[in-house]
Amino acid sequence: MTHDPHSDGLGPSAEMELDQVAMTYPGMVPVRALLPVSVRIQSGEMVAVTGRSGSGKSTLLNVLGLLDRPTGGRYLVRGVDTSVLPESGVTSLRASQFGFVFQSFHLLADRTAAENAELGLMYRGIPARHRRQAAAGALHRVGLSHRMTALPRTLSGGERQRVAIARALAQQPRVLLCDEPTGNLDRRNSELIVSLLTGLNAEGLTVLIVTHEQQIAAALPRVLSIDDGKVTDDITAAAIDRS
Amino acid sequence: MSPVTRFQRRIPPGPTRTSSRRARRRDATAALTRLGVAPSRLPVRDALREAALNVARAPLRTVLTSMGTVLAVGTAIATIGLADSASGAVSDAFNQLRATTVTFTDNNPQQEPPALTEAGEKSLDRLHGVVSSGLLWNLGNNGQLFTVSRISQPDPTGQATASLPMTAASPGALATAGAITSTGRLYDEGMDHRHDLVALLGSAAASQLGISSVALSPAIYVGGVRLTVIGIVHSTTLASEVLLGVIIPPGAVQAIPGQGSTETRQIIVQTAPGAAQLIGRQGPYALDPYQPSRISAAVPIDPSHLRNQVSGPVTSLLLAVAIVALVVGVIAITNTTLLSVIQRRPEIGLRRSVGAAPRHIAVLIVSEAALIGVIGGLIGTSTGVLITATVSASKGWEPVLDPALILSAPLVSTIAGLIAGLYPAWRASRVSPITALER
Repeated sequence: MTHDPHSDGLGPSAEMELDQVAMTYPGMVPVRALLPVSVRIQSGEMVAVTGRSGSGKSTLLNVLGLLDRPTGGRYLVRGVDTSVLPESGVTSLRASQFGFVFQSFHLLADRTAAENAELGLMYRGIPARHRRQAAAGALHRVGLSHRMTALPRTLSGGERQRVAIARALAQQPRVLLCDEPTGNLDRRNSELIVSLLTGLNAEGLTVLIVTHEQQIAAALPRVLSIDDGKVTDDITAAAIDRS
Repeated sequence: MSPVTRFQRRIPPGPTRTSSRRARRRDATAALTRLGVAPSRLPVRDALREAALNVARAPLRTVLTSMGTVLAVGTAIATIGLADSASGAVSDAFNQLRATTVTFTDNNPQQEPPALTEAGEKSLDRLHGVVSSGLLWNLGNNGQLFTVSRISQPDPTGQATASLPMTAASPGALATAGAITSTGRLYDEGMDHRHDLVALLGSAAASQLGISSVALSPAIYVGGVRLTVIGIVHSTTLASEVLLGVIIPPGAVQAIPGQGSTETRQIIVQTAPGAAQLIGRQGPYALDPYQPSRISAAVPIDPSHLRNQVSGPVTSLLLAVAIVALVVGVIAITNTTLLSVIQRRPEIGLRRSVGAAPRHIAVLIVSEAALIGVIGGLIGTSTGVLITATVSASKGWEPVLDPALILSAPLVSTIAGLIAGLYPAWRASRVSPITALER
C-alpha cells in the first residue's frame, strides 16, 4: 500500500490522482492510447474531458473509473495506490466509489426502471427492501418517480439517461463518470441532463464528463483537453477569470 | 557446481512467495479498509432470483436453450419407457404360454409300480394353484415307432400303413395340453375307465393314413389290435409332438403289444399364474410322499427373471442411447449458452462495471444454465411420459415407467445444465467491464 498525501507537495490527497499514468494496448502494433499523464481531481470538482475521436479521453475515463488498469505510472484514489489492489478489490472499490453513465444508457431491456436503478446494489449484498428504497430515492432525485415500473423501451432517450443516472446515484458514489452522456440526446434533453449533473455536483458529488461538445465543456468549471494521448490543456474557470 | 550452490537451489521459493502474497493481501485489505470499501458480494438468494428473472423474462432464449435438454430427456424417457413396456408385453406373452406349465417326470421308469399314474392327477388337483393336470407318456422304447394300418390284413402295397409314434394321454392331459379336434371328439374318462379301444389321430398322422373324417368311425390296427378313431387333433398348446402320431387313453394301453420297458411317464400341470414355482416344489410330495426324489419337476423360469432377461440387454442398449442423447443435450446447452453469453457481452460488462465480480457473473450464468436444465428436464420428462403412454396405448401394451426414472430425469438434466453452463460461465467471467462502454 502506498499512502503519500503530501508526496508532491500539492496539499492533501486528491479524490483521484494520476501520476505519470500511461496506457498501451498490446498487439502486433502496440497502441499508446495514453502517454504519461499527471492529473489531480479534487473532491467536489466538475470536470469536462474533451478531445477529438481517438484522442484518448475514453481511455482516461476507463482508467479513472477502474474499468481498466494503466500499464504505467500510479493511480491513486484518495491517496491509495490502486495498483496494490487485486481484481476483487478493484471491483469493490469501483462499485462503492464510482457511478457510471454511458452514452448508450446500457439499461437492461427486460427490467423496469426501478430494477435497473437497483442493479449495482445487489452486488454489495444490500437486502432487497433497502435496494428498492434506494432505487426509489434515486429515481425521485432524477424526476422519474412516476416511471418506476416502466420498461426501457417505453421511455424516451432523456428518460433512459436519467434512469442510468439514477442507477449510478443509487450506489451513493463519490464520483460520477459520464461518457458522452448527451451523445444520443436532442438539445432539450441534453440541457436537462447537464443541468441535472450540475445540480448533483452542487450537492457535493464529483462529476467528470467526457464530451466532444465544446458548448457543454465550456460551461463546466474545469476542462481537460486531450490530444494524441496527452493532456494538452487543463483550464479552470478561475484561471480564465483571473486572466 | 559447489555444494553451497546446490543447497541454495534446493531452497523452495514457496515461503518467500507466500509471505509476499500475504503481504500484498494485507496491503490491499488495509487500503480498502482505509477507503471504507466493503467487499463486493452477492447473496445466493439474489443470485438465484436474478437467474430466474433472466430465464423468465427471455422466454424465447430459454425455450431455444432448453430444446437440447428437452430432446435428450424426452428421448431417454420415451426409449426406456417403451423398452420396458415392450419387454413387459413380451414377458406377459411368455407367462401366458409357458410360465404356468409344470412337468413332472418319473426318474426311474423301470421301477414298479410306476410313480406317475392317473391317481396322481387327483393328488395334484387337490393342490392350491393347480388348474388341470394329466398323465402322458410315449409308448415303446425311446423313439420307437409302431406300424399302424387302416386294414386288418397285411398291406403289401403299404399305402394303408404308416410308422407312427404312439402316446398314451389321460383325458386330463388332453385338456391340459389344450388339444382341439378338427373333426370328431376327444375321449373322456368313461372311455378311459372302460378300457375302450379308441384312438385320436394327430393331424399329421391322419394325413399319412389318409383319414380326413371320423363320421364313419374309421378303424386303425396296431399289432393286430383294432382301435376306433373318434377324432383328429389339429392343434395343442403343449406337447405338440403328439400331433405326429396316435393318441390313446391309458386304459387302452394294456391291449397294445410291443411296449418298451423304458417308457418315461410325465404329468403335465397347468397352474394359476404365479403358482408354478410352488407347485413345482409341492408336486413330488403329493405324487409320491414316500419317494418324492423319484420325481423331478420342470418348472418354468420365474417370470420376473424372464422379464429381466428380456429387458436387460434392450434397456442397456437404450440407456446407452439415452446417455448419448444427454451428452448431445449438454453440448447443445453449452453452445446455446455460449452464444447467449456472446450476445449478452454488453449486459455482462455493465454488471461488471456496477460491481459484479467475475465469480458473480459465473454464478449467474451457471444458475441460468441449471434452471434451463430443470425446465428442459421437466418438459422432456412430460413429453417422454406422454409418448410412452400414447405408443403403449396404440400397441395395446401396459405402459411401464419406473418412478425412479421419472423423478431422477429432472435432477439429471439439472446437473447436465450445470455442467453445460461451466464453460460459458468461465468465458462470461472474463468479459471486461470496458465492454459496457463500447458503443
